Amino acid sequence: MILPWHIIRLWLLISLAALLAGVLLAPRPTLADEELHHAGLVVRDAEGRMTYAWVPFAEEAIDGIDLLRRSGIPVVTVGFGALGDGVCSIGGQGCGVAECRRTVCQGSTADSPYWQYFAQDPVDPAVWTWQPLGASSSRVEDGDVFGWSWTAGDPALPALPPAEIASRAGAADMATAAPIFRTVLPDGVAVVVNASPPDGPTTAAAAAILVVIAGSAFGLAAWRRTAAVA
Amino acid sequence: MITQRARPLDPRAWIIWAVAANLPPLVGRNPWPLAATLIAVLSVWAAYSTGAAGARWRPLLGLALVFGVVSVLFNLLTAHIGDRVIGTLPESWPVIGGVLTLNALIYGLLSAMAIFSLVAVSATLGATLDWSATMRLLPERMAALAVAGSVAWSYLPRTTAALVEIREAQMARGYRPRGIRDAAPLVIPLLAGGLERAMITAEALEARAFGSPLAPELTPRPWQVASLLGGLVTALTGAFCLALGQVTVAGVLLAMAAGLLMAGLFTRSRGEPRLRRTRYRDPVWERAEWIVSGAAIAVLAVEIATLFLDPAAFRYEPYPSLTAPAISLPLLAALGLLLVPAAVRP
Repeated sequence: MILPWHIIRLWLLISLAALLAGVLLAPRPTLADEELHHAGLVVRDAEGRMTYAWVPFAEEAIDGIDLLRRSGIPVVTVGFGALGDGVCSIGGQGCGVAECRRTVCQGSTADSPYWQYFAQDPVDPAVWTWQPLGASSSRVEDGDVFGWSWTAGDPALPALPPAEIASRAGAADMATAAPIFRTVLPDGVAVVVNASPPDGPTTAAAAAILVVIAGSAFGLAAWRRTAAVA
Repeated sequence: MITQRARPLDPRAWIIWAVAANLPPLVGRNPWPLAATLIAVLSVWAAYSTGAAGARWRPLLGLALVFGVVSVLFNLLTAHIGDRVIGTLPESWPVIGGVLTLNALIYGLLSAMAIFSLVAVSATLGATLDWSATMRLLPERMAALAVAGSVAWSYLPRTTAALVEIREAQMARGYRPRGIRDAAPLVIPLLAGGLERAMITAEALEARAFGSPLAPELTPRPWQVASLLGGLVTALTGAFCLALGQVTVAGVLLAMAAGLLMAGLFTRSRGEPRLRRTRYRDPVWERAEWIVSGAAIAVLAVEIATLFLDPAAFRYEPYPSLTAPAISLPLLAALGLLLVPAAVRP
């Protein structure tokens, strides 16, 4: 006996809904449930501000983009499909998404800076190796330290061992269960300040201009249509 | 009583207006100028889309609306950036897995507004431009290119109309589309009809000596060909430099390209006197054209000044955190002048 098509379709729909609910509602393991691994992160921006982060993770290994995202540092990335993600801005420094999609913030000249990605040598912390395949292709394991620098050449990242990086990030002990980060400002460099939003009167004036344009637009269109019909 | 039919505005005025209206959606995603431009453009569209030309171009706006919705969904599902999380999809799902953010939704909406603005400007031009007058603006040597471009451009509304006709005819025969597999009865006649129209157009053009060899006095000299080629290569290089952000080099190259192209196109070929094209009606440039082009040039001037002095007035990024966009009151007020074509009557 062959089942009618509408029964098969109903059964398929119910199965798909059940599968979707199972995937969406399945309990996810929390960090506290498992043994944690830790990795360090050092970020140096154009003015020399240093941000140190100490990040726990439950998996055996994660990628460099996950490490950056889990650190809590404000970050903007764009996806490039199978090539992974490109980093547009870290801590408010970098470029906008539209430009990032075109150039990954890299200018046309050889000395144009962009967010470059480095791995610290586990034996000699003074050695930082540029990662040509990018953060999505890197493998972050327990005890690793990675660095980001807004530079065109020398990363100018510090020669600090993981314990010191955890300490500068503000971690009470290296086995912390929550990610933590802290920014250290060099002498004479201020905190990054975002542009202040427009004040109330300016916003009200802009809204009034838009209302006038909309009112005029409606009136003119109605007048022209009436004239055309007449 | 004899009533005089309103003449169309000169194409040059429309083109200046279109350049001014296209700039805000092309250079940024700031919602204030985008909204002002979109309102003004839709008003002009509504004022000029009353006849058959408006009906021909209306489906394009519907299509832009669909693309806008797709753009919003695409950005929401693929840009997992931002501080205002509104939902989560499992990380294991390829491409779309991750957090869904209000930031991505807003950026998608702004992109949809920009797309819709650009299409509304094109639809307004399509419905209002006197294409034969526009073609006559081009240099004689570009006439063949202009005819080909004009024919290609006219296929868009004709194909849309043909699709509607085929669908109605098929439905009268009992056709009821239930899915993508039922598209064949629509697509095959559409393709066949398109090829047939292309053949008829080609025959009509051939009968009018389109593509025939140029008269000896119109044959370009070797230096004119070299100038044209050099101009095209320089223009491409300038555009490449502009895309890379080398504005100064790009400006110099584009200026050089303009000079070379002008030299190649507007200088006389062999033989004197030159063949002259005659016109039954000369283009009319009166008060309405002065008002529309003057207003559009004023808008362009304010836009370019704002672009150099306060670029944030055009740009906006809701990433990584949602902040209020910058406002430039002079720019917003100037964009109101884009309404002028709806207010004047030639």
